[in-house]
Amino acid sequence: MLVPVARAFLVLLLAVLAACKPVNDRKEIKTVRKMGKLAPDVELGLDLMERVSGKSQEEANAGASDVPFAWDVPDGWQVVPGSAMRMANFSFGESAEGQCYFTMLRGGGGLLLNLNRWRGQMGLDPVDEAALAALPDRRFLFGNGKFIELEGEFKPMGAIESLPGYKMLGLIMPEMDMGDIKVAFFVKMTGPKALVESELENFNAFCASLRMKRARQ
Amino acid sequence: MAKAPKPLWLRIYNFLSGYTLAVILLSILLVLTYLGTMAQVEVGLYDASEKYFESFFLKDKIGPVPIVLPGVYLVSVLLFLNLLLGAIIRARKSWKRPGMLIAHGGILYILFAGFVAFHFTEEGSMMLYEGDRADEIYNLTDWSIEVARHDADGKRKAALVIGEEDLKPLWEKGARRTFFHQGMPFEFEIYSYSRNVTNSKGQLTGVPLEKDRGKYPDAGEFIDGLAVVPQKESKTREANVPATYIKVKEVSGKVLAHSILVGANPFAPRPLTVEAGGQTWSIDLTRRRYSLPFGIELIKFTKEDHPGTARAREYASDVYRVDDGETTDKYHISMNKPMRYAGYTLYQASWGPPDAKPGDRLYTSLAVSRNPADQWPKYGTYVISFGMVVHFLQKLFAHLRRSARSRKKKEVAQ
Repeated sequence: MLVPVARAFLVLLLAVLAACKPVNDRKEIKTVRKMGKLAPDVELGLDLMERVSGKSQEEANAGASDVPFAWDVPDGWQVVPGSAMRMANFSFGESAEGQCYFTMLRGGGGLLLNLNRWRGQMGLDPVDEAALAALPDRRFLFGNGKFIELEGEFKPMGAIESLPGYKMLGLIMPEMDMGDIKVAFFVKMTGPKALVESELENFNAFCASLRMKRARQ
Repeated sequence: MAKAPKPLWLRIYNFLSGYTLAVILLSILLVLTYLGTMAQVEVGLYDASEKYFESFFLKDKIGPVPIVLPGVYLVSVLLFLNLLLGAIIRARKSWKRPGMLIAHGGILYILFAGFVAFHFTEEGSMMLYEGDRADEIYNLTDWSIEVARHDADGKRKAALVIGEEDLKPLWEKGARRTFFHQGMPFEFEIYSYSRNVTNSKGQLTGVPLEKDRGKYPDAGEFIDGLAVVPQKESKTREANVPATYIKVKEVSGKVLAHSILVGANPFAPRPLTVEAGGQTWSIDLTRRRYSLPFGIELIKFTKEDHPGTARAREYASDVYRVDDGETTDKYHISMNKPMRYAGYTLYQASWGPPDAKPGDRLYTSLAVSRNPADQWPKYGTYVISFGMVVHFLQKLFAHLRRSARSRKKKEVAQ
């Protein structure tokens, strides 16, 4: 009685062993999911680096670690290992909840565009050119930059939820010619409102200390 | 004269419905349960469950010797067949033993409930801050690829879904699979699928930059400055984030995109965008999502701690059901009081962020499931209990009758 069953089992066993070979086939997609009305929006048109790292274009284009800039690190700031995105990268606060970084963007992308993108990250509505023009100027690197101060619910790229009670300080150097390319420079600080306000002097000091390495040689 | 041999079909029928097979199957179940339980220590709960309890066959080792064993799925199917043939069809039908038939029917019902639950359950999570709304859930352990066409506003009406069951064969080294659909003006090949590209801290160490190529001799091809390098899988399966290479081609063979997909955050999808046939499409490697036929809005999340500690004693969510964008009924979901609606059950599962300090804004985490066989095991247990009660009562009455007869006989003899 067991012989035919054993034979059948053997055939099945051989089939299983044959199926162990890695697949290389074609498969039709058959499942369709109807989207809910409250489904999250999708960010389209992002390049691979933006999709993978969640970094903004300005960060992605910030270049390699051998940056031609130097700076002074304010007291109490922790140096966070640099990345291809951020030329200078710091955290501060008891739980390192505040952060500040310096980046460069090839092409710039336009001052108003960047301002409104930052406003979007803070949950604020976009503004027009008139509001941009009204922003205070600050001495920054090779000229004047626009100083930006925003409060709201900060949503870092790739974060699950917004962080309420946050403040953002920013300094943007508009597009400037550097040889055959245009670049823009950014310093951006984010953190809980009280913490960022307590670090305002350090932010100003850090921005003022930014310089080209060659300038001192 | 020699007895004529039984025909083959009868021998197979007798074997399938016999006690021999039942004993073999139950013994194998015992061994698999032991192996599967022990394997959870090594490979984690989900992988062990998949390998031992959800498979037809599995490869294992006894010392250095590789062996192939039947999986619990196959054993359960055979056990169902064995019970059906042996305890229902082949069993003697008699008014003296209906209880046994009923009890075995109950066991079959529970086995069938397991089959339905395994194949048709939708499970996922929903995380909401107060004031947030959502009408989709995502599975913490299963991944999928979703392909969607976007209208001029960037909105999607539907998504084509490649589930984990079609991605699983791609876990094997060297595997590649081309996916197509008649409504899609392209097809795409998935290859070098890696089940995890993060380290224990959740950093994407398995997607290195090309400038660090020297540190990653095992890296695959670099595309736009990045590559995929498989990392050690976490035993906590929900911590794993997959990545894969993808090549999108028109039917003519023209390559539209050659890129990498990395498992995305379900709240902020950042898919690969493809322009094809004058339309914008997105391809996203995402945790398996399910749409609900209704939405949920969190009104209030309440957490009570044990006195003097940050350990939660009780937490609950007050929610509105949202139908067609409008809030409707109000529900209170607490740890032992789920919300049930439209075949879905929403349990109060957890809360976060895990490192929240006193006064921090918290979110609620609801576990959502839709299991058509949700209550069936309970009903099956009732059926088995009823069958046993009938059987034992019959036995009791038969015993009492026999005792009475024997007493009478003794009385007559005296």
